[in-house]
Formats: sequence, structure tokens, C-alpha cells
Amino acid sequence: MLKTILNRFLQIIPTLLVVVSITFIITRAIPGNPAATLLGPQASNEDIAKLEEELGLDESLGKQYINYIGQLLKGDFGKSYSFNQPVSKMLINRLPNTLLLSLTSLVLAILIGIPIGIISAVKQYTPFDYISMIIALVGVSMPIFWLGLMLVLIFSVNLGWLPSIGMGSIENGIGDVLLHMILPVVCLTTIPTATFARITRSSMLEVINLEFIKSLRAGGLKEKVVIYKHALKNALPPIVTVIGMQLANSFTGAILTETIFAWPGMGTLIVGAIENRDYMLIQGAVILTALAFVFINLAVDMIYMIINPKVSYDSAKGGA
Amino acid sequence: MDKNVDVLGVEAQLEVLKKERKYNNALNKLKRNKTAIFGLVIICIMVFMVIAADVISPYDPNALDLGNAYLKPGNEGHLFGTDEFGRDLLSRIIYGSRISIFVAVGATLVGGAIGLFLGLIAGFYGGMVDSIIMRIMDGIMAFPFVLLAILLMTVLGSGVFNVILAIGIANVPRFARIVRGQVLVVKNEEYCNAVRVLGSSDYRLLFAHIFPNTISPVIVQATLSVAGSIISEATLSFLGLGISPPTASWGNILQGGKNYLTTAPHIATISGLFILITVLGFNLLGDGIRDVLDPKMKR
Amino acid sequence: MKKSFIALLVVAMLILATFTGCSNGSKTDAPGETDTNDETVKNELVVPSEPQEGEVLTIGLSSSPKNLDPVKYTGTYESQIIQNVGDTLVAYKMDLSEIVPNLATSWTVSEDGMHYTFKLRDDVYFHPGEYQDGRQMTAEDIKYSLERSLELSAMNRLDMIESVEVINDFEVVVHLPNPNSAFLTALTNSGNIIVPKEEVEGWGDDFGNHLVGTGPFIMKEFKYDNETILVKNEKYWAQTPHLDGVTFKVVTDASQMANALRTGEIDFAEKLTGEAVKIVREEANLKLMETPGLHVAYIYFNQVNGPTADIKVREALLKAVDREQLVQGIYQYGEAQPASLPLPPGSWGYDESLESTVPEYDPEGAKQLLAEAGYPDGFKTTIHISDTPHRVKMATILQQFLKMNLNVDLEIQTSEWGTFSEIGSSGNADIFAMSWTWYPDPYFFLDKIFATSAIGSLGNGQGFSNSEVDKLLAEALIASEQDERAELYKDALKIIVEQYPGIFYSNENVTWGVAPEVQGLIQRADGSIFLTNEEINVWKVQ
Repeated sequence: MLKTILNRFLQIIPTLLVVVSITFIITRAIPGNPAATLLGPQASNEDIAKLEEELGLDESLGKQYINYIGQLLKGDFGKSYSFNQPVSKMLINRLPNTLLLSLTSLVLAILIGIPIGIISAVKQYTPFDYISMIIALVGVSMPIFWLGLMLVLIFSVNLGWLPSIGMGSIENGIGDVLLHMILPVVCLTTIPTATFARITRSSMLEVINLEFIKSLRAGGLKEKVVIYKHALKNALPPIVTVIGMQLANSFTGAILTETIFAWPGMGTLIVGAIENRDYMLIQGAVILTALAFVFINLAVDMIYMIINPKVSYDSAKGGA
Repeated sequence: MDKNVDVLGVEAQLEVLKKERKYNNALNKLKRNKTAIFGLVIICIMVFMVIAADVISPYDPNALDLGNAYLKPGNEGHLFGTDEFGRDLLSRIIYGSRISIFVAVGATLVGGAIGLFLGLIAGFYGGMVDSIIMRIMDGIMAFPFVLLAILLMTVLGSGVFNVILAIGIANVPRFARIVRGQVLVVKNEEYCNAVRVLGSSDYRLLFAHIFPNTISPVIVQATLSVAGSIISEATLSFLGLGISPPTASWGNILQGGKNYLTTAPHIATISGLFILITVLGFNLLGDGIRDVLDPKMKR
Repeated sequence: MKKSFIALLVVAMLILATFTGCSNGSKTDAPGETDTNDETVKNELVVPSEPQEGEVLTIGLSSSPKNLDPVKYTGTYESQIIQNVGDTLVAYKMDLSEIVPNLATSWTVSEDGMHYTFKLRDDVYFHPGEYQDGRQMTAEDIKYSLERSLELSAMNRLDMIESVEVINDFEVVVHLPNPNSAFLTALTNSGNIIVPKEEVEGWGDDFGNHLVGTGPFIMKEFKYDNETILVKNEKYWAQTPHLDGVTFKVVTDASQMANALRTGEIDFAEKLTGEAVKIVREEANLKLMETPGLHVAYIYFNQVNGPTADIKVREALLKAVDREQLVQGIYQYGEAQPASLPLPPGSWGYDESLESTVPEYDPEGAKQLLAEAGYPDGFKTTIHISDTPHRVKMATILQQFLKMNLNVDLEIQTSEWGTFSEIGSSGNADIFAMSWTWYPDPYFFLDKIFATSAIGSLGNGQGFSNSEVDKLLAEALIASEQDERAELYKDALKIIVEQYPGIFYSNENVTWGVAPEVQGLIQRADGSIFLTNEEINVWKVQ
């Protein structure tokens, strides 16, 4: 097993290289010149040329690429063109804000979604089952930003109960930040909760109807123990996989949610960076995200291996 | 049921078995699944809208009528009200269905075809080929869709076909993984080896035997992919990267409506609802098909 | 299963009910109507006759300021902050009618227009900072700051000077290689505020995050994408600010801006557009401030390539559009006035008499002209715009006019700003649309949009080139008296207008949303925010 882990770690490097290279190429393929974009419509050609030189954009693409890789290996993500701050510093500043939303949503989604899924499976065909599954289905069918807009419409515009923009600040007390978090978190949590509820239910159903569960029951074990200790444990693998995938997908959700609620996180940072053609910032943010995804993938695979030691890694049966 | 059959005579047993088989055959199962039917109904309504748009639409979706802008739903002659240019919202939604569904189906076909091809190759040949292809798939999946889409669209520029391409590319990895997984499962099964021993060429093996077995999960994935692609189109339009105005798509109507949330909330609300309902339809159908194809689950 | 079907229906009903319920429940009407059922309580705010001290003003900026180092690429958002933290040598009066002394007390210009002598105030002190503790500002600082701008300014904001000479502690002479009447205006730019050398060199590249100047407010914290916090400078030379501090918050979404005003998260929103304008106007608890801006929105035809290279075609296109209707359709809340000329009326180079020379709406005449030009059945062309709601609206209405009157098929290409500016400056766009806003000095409009030397930059991306115009513009730049310059600019304007280079359709207002507690605010036609100087000292009711 140790060997497989090491193997997987090594496989990260080529994947990352692919990600870095693709990002580099695509960002530079985007029409629009960072210098011109930064200086705005009133700049003259000389101004633009001067800035290009300053930013090192007048060198050949190959040279820029090599420079960048060299920087990366030293752990230097470069400097943001538009903000004149080191990219790493900007990412570190913004990442906690995004994590605050994403992790809170993820945890809530797990705490709410999985129990609902379990209960639905156990109480199959009851009204609870029907209603919760339909609500869940509706939940996974809506665009997250529409949900966000509707939340703003109802709770902020019409009822005026909750603020709609920004993060509040710690200086005004934790309560201020929490208040600002409510709508974005609700927005971000809804769809994963629905997803988890559905996968938990279907996975539990597969397990519950198996012979060995029936025999456990027949053997006199208490229902609660049967469900939670045995059935759930066996139903976990697909659920864990889906959770892993969701954390990765949550970045997309985060970008959209942050845009609607003007939350100062990685999402708004990247969208702004693309608008400004801030290559360094775009590249840095994408690489960070890719790194995160790759590690999460690895972690999920390892948890999977622990839960289910019979899975042989190299045959990799079935799709994700 | 099992116990009772044993009691009957052989012919009777056969008959019961035949009836059971018929009853449990895929199409009938599907027919019995009410929610899948409901999903199909929704899809049929939407498809009808797509086809009959010219006939059922009360107005030209692009006809400006600045004097009547921002009318609420239910106002004279405008069931869904009007938008900021006075264009009838119902007509725009009807024509928008064409674009949204066309894009979603197109993106699914693109993703599915490429993904199927890559998955077959990777699963069948294994080794280096498999590794490389899967690494690239991982790489693409490592990009959050929004980011990938933003980058692709900014490079490609706007336009219906570019949108289909961008979403299609994002769809590829999921198809490829599923197909590859299926191929691996089937590859190791007995009869495949038997067929190989008998001298069938690789090519034939691939297409005649392995391919048919990958169909079912691909179909499920395809319905889910259409559902997801509708949302993806809306997302791209929301970010201003999708279909350019004045052509209507549900996504760009929603995006336009976002600016008038207080004065004309019906624009964003209604377009979003249509997206919701259509995606729901595809999800219901996909769930239904999956239930049919997966014998283990009771429902 | 029947049960699931029923459950599905129930849920569907619930959802529909919630959403339709809330859209009907909101107090919204088509524009123009007032809601008589509105029950908003009018807050009778008691405004004291004397300004009160204290309170922090929170301002909403619609985009995040990037780098506050004045020599870097500073745009309007950075300027709003920079000009409240630092001062320039001279400044515009709040009504932009003339340039008045600021850090300089007076100045004289040599006969040949190449040497400007400035006498300086002797009561100005820098904010205390990391590398100096609030020392007095002297002539050396002027020399340092202006020469730094000359050398390093990303936008070449002082490229017309050669050197600065210190005469004594409170007197400098600025030497120009050629006379340039835009120099004084350039000095008012926030990119040319006076900064202390120690801080600049001490912080180096980081100076933008720790801006130090001589202005009414001291920069306390710069959270670039979030908010910038300024506090009052007790020792400000003009007058002590009433406000305790100012916080600039970034609110990127226009509708969020209005929301933030209503909830009190901000006191002052600059640049309100669209729906937000209506909301603030109708909200009893908020004040809408509007004033005509130094702004022109226009559609620019390609002068070199494509069908629009033919002047007859351009004239036809111009006649095919009813500018009044266009403006009404785009700006449904009165945020702009219809225009016709490439200069805003507030510019001193504007010539009212030229307005009548711009063709009126004349679809018949347009059709005839187009036929004469060889396109009796119309043609296909493309307009490039950036993806803002205004531009999309404008293009959609334009599309209808052109199709209806001339059978011209206009394809609309939207792109976000970065892509748009590249296409625009390349000369490859058949038509593009933009807006321009700057100083009342016509140099900053006409030279950038119509001079041959500006071809290749976004301003003159369409390749306008006319030697007469170039000559007049060059002369106007050298002439020293404003009246003389105005005449030259008017002559140039006349020639430009005769070429029908584009459709100059609107002048947008400067639109601010303000909470009633905010007192003493003065709007400027260039949209810039000044809170405390010799003319103004904003305060808030407690």
C-alpha cells in the first residue's frame, strides 16, 4: 500500500505540469494585452510598449515559459500585474475566505444530506422519502446562481432581513461576519446537500437489501446498530467518492456564489484576474486550485483504500 | 413467488418465467416508473416548444417595443410580461429553448463521442496509452468547469458553436472514465478471452463485443450530461461568455434579468424556472433509465 | 407510483407559489409610475445648521482600485482615493471652470511658454509615515515628485516637461522643451500628487500599499480588493476635515450598490447605473445627485476599411438613427442627455452652433445616400462592444434602426473589456462603441480620438486621419490663451464633424446615490470625489 501511495504522489507531478502548461498557453492565447488592459482606453501606444517591457511581456513566449517554470520550482508565484502584490500573498489572503464558505457548506451538506439519505433509505416509500427525494431532485436541477439571485430577491431585496454583499468585518464582531455568511452558505449548501442525500439513499438501498444485513437482523441485532454500524459502513465508498468530487466542484459554485454576493474570495479574485489579463494571478490561482483538487483526489482514494482494503488499486474497476 | 412456482408443473413454470421476463424487460420497467415518465413528459413538452417555436410563439422574440418595457406577467397580451426592451418574454423563452436545448444536446454529443472514443482506447490498450489519456482527463477535471469555460470562451470568442465546444470538452472526462471502467470490467470477463482465443481481431472485439456493453452507463451519463450542459450554458451566459444577445437563450435571459431584480424580477425568475424544470425532466429520465439498467436496486 | 406523482406535484406547486408570490409581492412598477401604495416612512432627518464633527463616511466604488502608487497605471477608481490622500500643485475648481492654486500659491509663465515658475505654500506637512515623521513639504519634494512622474509614469502623465529646477525652499521652475498648454491640466491629475522621497524609496515597490501625501486624509489600511480605510489628517493645510475618516468599499455589482445604500452598508455610491438609479430616486430615505458629466458615448465607424470607409455610407448610417429615441431606449431613468458632437457640452471647446450641422433623423435621405454609395440593398457589418448592459442595449436598438431603415444587417459582437480593447485598437473592427470622459480641455478628447498620432491606440482605433485637423490640434496645444485655443479647437471640431466619423449619441450624467446624513457634498462634472479642500468640507449628521 505504501508503494501505491508513493506512486500516486509521483503521478501528481506530470498532472501538475500538464495543468501549468495548459494554463500558461491558454492565458496567453486570450486576446487582449495585459498592458493595454491595465492602462485603460486613454493610453498611447508608447505607454503600452513601456509597460510591456516592464512586465517582461516583450520576451519570446518560450523564454517566458521557462522563466515561469523556473520561478515555480523556487516556490515563487510571481507578482500580480494589476495589484503589484506577490501572487502568493494575494492567494493566501483570499483562500481562507473561500474555504470559510466552502468548508462550512460542505460540512453542513454532509451533516444534513447524509442523515436524510439514510432515513429515506430506511423508510423507503414513506411520504418522507418521496418528499425529500423530490426536493433533492429539484435541488440538483437548479443553476446555483439562480438560487443565489432568488435568495437575494427574497431575503435581501423584499424582506430586508439579511445583507447581500461582502463579508462584513471581524472588527464589527464575529456576528457581523456570520450574518453576511448566511445567504452565501445557504446558496452553496443546497445543491451538495441534495446530491449527498440522493447518493446516500441509493447506496444505502443497495446495501440494506443484501443478504448479510437481513441475516444480521434475523440474528437479533438492534436495528440502529444494524443500520449505522454495518449498513452505513458498507455504503460509504460511493458516498465518499461523491464527497470528494463535490469538494472539487465546490470551486465552481464558489466562483458563482462569490460573484453574486460580492464575497472577497478566490472566485472573485480569479474572475477579476481574467478581466485584467493578469497572467501571473490567473496562473497562480489555477495552479493552487489544481493542486488542491489533486490532493483531495489522493486523499479520497486513500480513504477509499482504508475503508475497503480489498480494492486493488491497479485494476481500478469501474468509473469514478 | 419463488416458492409457488416450484409447486406448479413445468409448462406452467415456463409460462410464469416468460411472463416475468416480459414484465421485467427494460421498456416495460421504464413504463412502470412513473417519475421517469413524468421526466419524459417534461422533455417532450420542451422538445415540442423547440420544434413548434415559429407556430406557438405569440410575438417575434427580437421585436423591440420600448414603450412597453418591463411589463409584469399577465399584462395585456404578454403572458410572461416583457423585458427591458419590451420584447415578449414568453416568445423569448420559447425561442430560447431552441438554443439552450440545442447547445446542451450538442455538447453532450461532442463530449460523449470524444469521451467514448478515448475511454475505449484507454481501457482496451491499457498501459502507457491508458496512463497518458487518463492523466489528461484528470488534468481537465482538475480545472473547475467555470474556470475552464472562462478560459476557453475568452480564447475562442462567443458564438453557439464555440459554446458547444467549450461545454463539450468539459463533458469528455466523465464519459471517458465511465467507458474505460466498463471496458476494464468487460475485458476481464471470461467470454472475451474465449472470443480472443478463437481468433477475432482486436478491432472486431472492440466494436462488436466491448462496445455494446458500455452503452448502458453511457446512456445514463448522456441524459445527466444534457441536464448538466443546460446549466453550464446558463452559467456561461451568466458570466457574459455564452450566447451573445440579441439571440435569446435561457441563460442569457437570466443574465439580463439579473440587472432588473428589483424592478422586473419576473425575467430572472421565469427563465430560471424553465431551466430548473427542463433539467429536472432530464434528471428524472436519467434516474429512471439507471433504475432500469441496474437490476440490483429495487426502485 | 401514484404517491410519488402527487408528492412531485405538491412540491412543484410550492415552488411556483413561492416564486410567483414574491415577484408579485415586491413593490415594482414600470418606469414612470410611482407606487402610491408605498408605505415607506419618511425619515424626518433633523439637519443641524452647523457641521458636526466626527463619523466615518463609507463610499462604494464600483471596481477595485489596484495600485495606489501615483506613477503606476492609475485609473478613475484609484484617483478617487489618491486625490483625498495627496495634493497636486494646482487644481481645478469644483465647477471645473478654471485652474486654481493648490500646493502652489501662484505661478507665472515665461513669454515663450516653456518655463513655469511656481511659488509654494509654506504650511504643508506630509502625513507621518514609516520613513519620515510628518516633515514639512518643500520645493525639493516638487522636483522629486514631478521628475519621478516624468520618468516612471505608466501613462506618461507629464511627458511634456523636461526638468524641474529648485530656486529656493518654496519656489520651483518647470522647464518644457516645447510650449504645451495642456501642462497645467496635466498637473491636476492625481498621478502627479506630491510625495515624500523617503517613503517612496523606503517602501519601493510597495509604496502603493502605503501611500503618503499631504492631503486631508491619511491612509490607514489598503485591503486592495475589499476596502481602503482613511483617517482624518488633523494638520491639513486647507482646513481640518469634519469627518473622522473615510472608507472606500468595493461593490462590483450595480444592483448590489443600490442594496448596500438601502441597508446602510454604504453612505455614498458613485456611478449608479440602470435600475439602481430608479431605486435610489424613488427611495424616500436616499438622495440622488445628478449633474451633466464630461462624457461622450459614441459609435465609431472604421475610416479606412470596409463599407464605412466611404463618407456617404457614414452619413447614411448617421441619418438612419433617431438619436433621441436611441437615448430614451438605453437610459430609461434619465441618466443621460442626447448628444451630437464629439465633445461634451461642458468642455470649453464645445461649439453649440455645430449641433445643427449634424444630420437629423432622415430615413428616406439615408436610404438614398446608401443607394448612391452603391448599397441599395444594404450590407452586412459587425459592431464590437464590451459586455455592459448599456452597450448591449444600444447595439440592440441600433440593430433595429439599421435593419428597418437601410436593410443593413448588424451583427453584434460582445466581448469583455480586455478582448474588446484589443479588437478596437487594431483597426479591424467595422464599427465599435465606446465612451470617453476626461478634462474640459478639448486636447484630452480630440487629440486622443482624432489625431493621426493616436492611430493604433484604442482612442483612434478606427484610423481617423486628416492633416488639417492635425495641424489645428498641434497649434491649439501650443497657443497660450484659452480663448485662442478654443477657437482653434472649434475649427478642428467643424472639420471632424463634416467627416461624419461616427454617431455621438449621449452625454451621461454623473450620478451619485447618497444617504441623507451626508452633507456638503459637491458633484463635479468629471465624476471625481473630493471630500475636503479649500472649497468643500463634507460632514455627516450624527
